[in-house]
Amino acid sequence: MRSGGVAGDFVPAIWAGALVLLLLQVMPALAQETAKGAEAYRAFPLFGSRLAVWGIAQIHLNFAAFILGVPIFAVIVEVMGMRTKDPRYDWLAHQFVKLVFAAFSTTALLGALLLFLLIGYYPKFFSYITGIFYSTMWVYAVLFFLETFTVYLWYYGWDWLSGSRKWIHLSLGILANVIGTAILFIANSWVTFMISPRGVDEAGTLTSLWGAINNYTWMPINIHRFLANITFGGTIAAAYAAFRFLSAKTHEERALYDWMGYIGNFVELSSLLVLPFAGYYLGREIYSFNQTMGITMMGGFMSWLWVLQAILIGVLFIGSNYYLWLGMERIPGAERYRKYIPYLIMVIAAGFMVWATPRSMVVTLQETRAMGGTHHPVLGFLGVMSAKNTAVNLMILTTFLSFLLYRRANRISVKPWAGMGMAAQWVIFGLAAAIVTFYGVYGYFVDSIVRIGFSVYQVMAVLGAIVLVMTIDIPMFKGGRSTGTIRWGQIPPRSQYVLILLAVTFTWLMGLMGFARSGIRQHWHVYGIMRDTSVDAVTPALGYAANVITTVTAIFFALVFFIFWLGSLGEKGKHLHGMGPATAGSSEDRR
Amino acid sequence: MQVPVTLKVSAFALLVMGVYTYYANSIPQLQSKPPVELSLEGGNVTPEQLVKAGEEIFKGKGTCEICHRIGQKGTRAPDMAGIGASAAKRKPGMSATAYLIESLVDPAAHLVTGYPPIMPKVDKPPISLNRSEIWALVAFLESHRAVALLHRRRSLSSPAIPKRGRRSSWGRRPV
Repeated sequence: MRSGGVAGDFVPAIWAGALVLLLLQVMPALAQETAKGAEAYRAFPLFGSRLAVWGIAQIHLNFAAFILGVPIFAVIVEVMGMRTKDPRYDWLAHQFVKLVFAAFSTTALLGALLLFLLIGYYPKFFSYITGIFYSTMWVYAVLFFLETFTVYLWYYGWDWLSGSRKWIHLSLGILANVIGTAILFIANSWVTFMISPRGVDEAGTLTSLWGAINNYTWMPINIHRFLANITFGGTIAAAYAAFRFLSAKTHEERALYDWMGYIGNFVELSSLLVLPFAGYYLGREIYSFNQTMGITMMGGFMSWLWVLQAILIGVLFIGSNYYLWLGMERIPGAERYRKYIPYLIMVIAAGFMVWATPRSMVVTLQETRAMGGTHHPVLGFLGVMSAKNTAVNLMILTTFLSFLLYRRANRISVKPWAGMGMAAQWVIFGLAAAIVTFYGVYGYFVDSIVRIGFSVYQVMAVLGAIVLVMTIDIPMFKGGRSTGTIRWGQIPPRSQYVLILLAVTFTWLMGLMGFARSGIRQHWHVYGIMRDTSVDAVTPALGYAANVITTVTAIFFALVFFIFWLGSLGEKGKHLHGMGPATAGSSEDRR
Repeated sequence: MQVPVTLKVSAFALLVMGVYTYYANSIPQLQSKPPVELSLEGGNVTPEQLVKAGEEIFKGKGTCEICHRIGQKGTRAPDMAGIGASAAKRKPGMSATAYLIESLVDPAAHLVTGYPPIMPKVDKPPISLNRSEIWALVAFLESHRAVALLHRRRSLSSPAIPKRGRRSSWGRRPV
């Protein structure tokens, strides 16, 4: 079963890689043709070149994020399996890699299609980018082959490299992730150069390749995408499990996919908690590169985009917490924490409302007069970064608290110092919340340049609290007394719709942030270096972008569904090898 | 009749995306259009036309309005009210026109206390104002001599305006 069904999936990937290599071979000739004065743009039939590139790039990035994110936690799950000697973890890791495996060739083919579109419809731009990054494109292609064969070996060698050779298998998984991350970093250098070019003179001539790679936004995007890929992979894997749960015919299946969904959500939540910090870092570097770009992004024509983003992230936080609270209902002993949930809801709801409050609104003259200005006299104060930073940091702390309660739901610490440990944890939580609130309020009384620095203290307080609380929690509950077995599979079906909601929302959010990243360049292909003189040089409004994002996201999910359906064909009529409710993650240490 | 799970999940996913799309279409729709080049070389332009063209650059291609306001103190950059009058007094021996041009093409040459050196050179990418556009922008800024006088007259005659509003918020910071 393990190696069947999808054996031919890598063939298209290899073909796509070979095509890319072939194109690299002929690129210098293509560049020369363009330099001779060939046209800068060609029009894609029916809906135009920009929309064609936008659509394919977004689907390609969705798939790429999935195949780079899922292997990271597949390796983590495999390590857990090795440590606990529990075969179910190994099974789960293999399931995750199977999902990646099925999506691998589609990613490669979409990448090749994107390349054709760029060469065909934006020849001058592509010639310029090739002139800068030509040598890295070779490295990219070679790494792609290495990645393909490593994942190939990792997947097919699952049984062969077991037992005493398991460490070799695990090393392959780690190697696949290292290569995958290197591929991500190389592709990021091309994209980030377009936003914040460096290593070139005023005319755009290359002066330093490393400078061009290591531009202002390269490392922030590397970190942001690395974390976001894990979150994305987690949401998709959890949504897959949710679909299987809802379609399950037996309790055994439900228990198994309930557990799988939980693991997917756990991984998603772990990286989601730190993702806003990576976003701050990226935003700060954009301001460092060019203040005008930063201000245009946050306060210019894109300002409403952040209100929409706040709503989406609010949905992610509320959804993740709600799933955890629903999950606690299947854990005996969790009743003792139920009384805290209304307070957690209040903090998250309040944070959500603050985050979604716009600073100023486009209003009619009458409304402006009634309000006394374009800013609301009270709510306007909640629209500034001081309030928003405070809100999001408190939401992160609250979500972490939800997770902590879930984690210890069916365990009681037997350590003699447990009381002191818990008191210390509450003090840490209180201190972190106090620091975040203090700097949030103080931010109203200082200049913007000082205020920006306060967000670093707020972030450090929250991150520090997470690390310190976990440092106490892990030894405190190690070997703790169990209050009962988790009833996997006994969770309301609406919890599974929450997992689907998270996957859809995160995918949509990725599309929106892709629009933001690309849109801040406005009428530039390469900011300040190469102007967009095409008919599509106008950066569209949010409504148009949303229509495109929804269409592309729907196509992406349809493709994912089709690919997973193909992958599941090999499973028809096969049993789940005793992965039923009594065994699948049924003990407290399997969380 | 049992509704297939695939249908239920698909409908749910489409509903979620539909809500986001509806919201995005309901809020103000702002586009970013590429700026149009202004050329006055060899043309016959009146001072009023020049000031009008400068105002458009101030609000559009120059992206000045993102940080600078006229008659309103910004958090990132100084108020431009009265700049036409105060620019002549910034540097001894330097005319208002020369000072404004220097402020636009070399903003770090002179900074207003309390504001960070964040202004880009307007003749360089990505703003890339050409000679005509800089000239028009300077004409527009110089025209704000009267605004300062108007503000001063208002503040003297109206006790309702708070004290801070009476002072010219224009400091030593270039444009």
